[in-house]
Amino acid sequence: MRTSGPSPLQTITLILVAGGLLLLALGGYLNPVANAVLEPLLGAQGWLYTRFQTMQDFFSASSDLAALRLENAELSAENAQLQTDLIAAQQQANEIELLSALLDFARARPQDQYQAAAVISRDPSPFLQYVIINRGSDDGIRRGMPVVAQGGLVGRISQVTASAARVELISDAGSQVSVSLQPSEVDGVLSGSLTGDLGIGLISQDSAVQTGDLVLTSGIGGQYPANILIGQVNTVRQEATELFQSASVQPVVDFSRLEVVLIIINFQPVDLTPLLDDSNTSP
Amino acid sequence: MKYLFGGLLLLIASVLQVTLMGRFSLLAGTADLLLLVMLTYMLQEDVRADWRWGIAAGLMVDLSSALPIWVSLAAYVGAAALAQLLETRVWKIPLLTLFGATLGSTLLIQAVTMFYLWLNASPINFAEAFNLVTLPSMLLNLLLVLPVSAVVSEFSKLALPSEEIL
Repeated sequence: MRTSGPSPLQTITLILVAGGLLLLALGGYLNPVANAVLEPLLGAQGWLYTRFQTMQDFFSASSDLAALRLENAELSAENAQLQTDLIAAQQQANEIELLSALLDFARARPQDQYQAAAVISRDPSPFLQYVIINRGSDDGIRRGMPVVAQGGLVGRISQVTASAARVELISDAGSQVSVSLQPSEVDGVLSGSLTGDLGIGLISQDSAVQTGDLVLTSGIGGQYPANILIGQVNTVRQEATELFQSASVQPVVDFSRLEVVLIIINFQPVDLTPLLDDSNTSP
Repeated sequence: MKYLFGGLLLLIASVLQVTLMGRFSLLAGTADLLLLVMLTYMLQEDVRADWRWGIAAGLMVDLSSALPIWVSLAAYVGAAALAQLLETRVWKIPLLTLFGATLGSTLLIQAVTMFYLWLNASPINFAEAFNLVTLPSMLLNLLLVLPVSAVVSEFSKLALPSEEIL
């Protein structure tokens, strides 16, 4: 039996058919046919892939869950640490803001020398407006020294121990400060009260005091240096039946939130006691 | 031991008073934690009420207050004596004793302080002082006395065995 290869006619036919198919494919005429064949094939592929993925997830879930829990714990810890850092950063920012304000005040009055101190407690009696600071005679603090904070007058040292001092706030009912109002250039006496509100009395009736006037120490009496800002006139009360006008003052310092203060250590208050003592008065 | 523990409680209350309590005010009044701790400790069922607790409390106030020592001593000894008196008179109703002592002691301490300020020629208006300081302080003290009493009682039970509480 004799075997023979494909005849030249078959080869040529195959080449022509292949070439024809190629030309039809290039011309896009075979796309419907290709789509009809590929669509079920792709569907089968997708179905198989999805089922395989589901099975793979099912078998690997336990190890993934443990990893996720671990990652969750790590992220929670990191979150807690970041929250702590954020709070610390906010506190530092507040401190920096406070210290910057104090530094600005110190720069604005270069003639004064300052000693910074932290407020450590308040007077337990609601009738008294006093605070205790953590600097005393060992740090050069003396009775009568003026105390300022955040650009305004706070009070003066009323009592000193070696490592602490008591500050009488200008909002105390027993405190009196000679003040000058600007720009009206009127003098008066600023007093505290039981509620901590500030008021100015002894303003002469013919003075033109206006709401918004700045209240500064006048230096009269020698108890405080001149030109330290205290606040702003809030309301003015003038009655024809009274000898003097009075005004309420909005202080620049928030006395309920005092944290750090500056003590002006190169100011020596004038002691007027000998002048006030009747026994020293010549007849 | 009971005196040591009582002193420790008063010391803690004194520190909390000057650092924290002053920040929580109603009008111009504040709660007096030291007074409340003193009263609730000395009026406990197993603790003997004694006016001398007032000396300890008065001395602690004197450490941090601008008031002269005689004022704080007179105020707190008077308050402790009042509580002692009330305990002997209305001993069957401890809650009434506690509230009565709180009310009376607050009034007494504030009256003594105002008297000192008046002597010292401080320009205070008594009606304003009563309305803005005394009444709010009294209200705060009355509100706080029961929680403080509970805390002091629990601490006493924890710190002192029952047979040691006299």
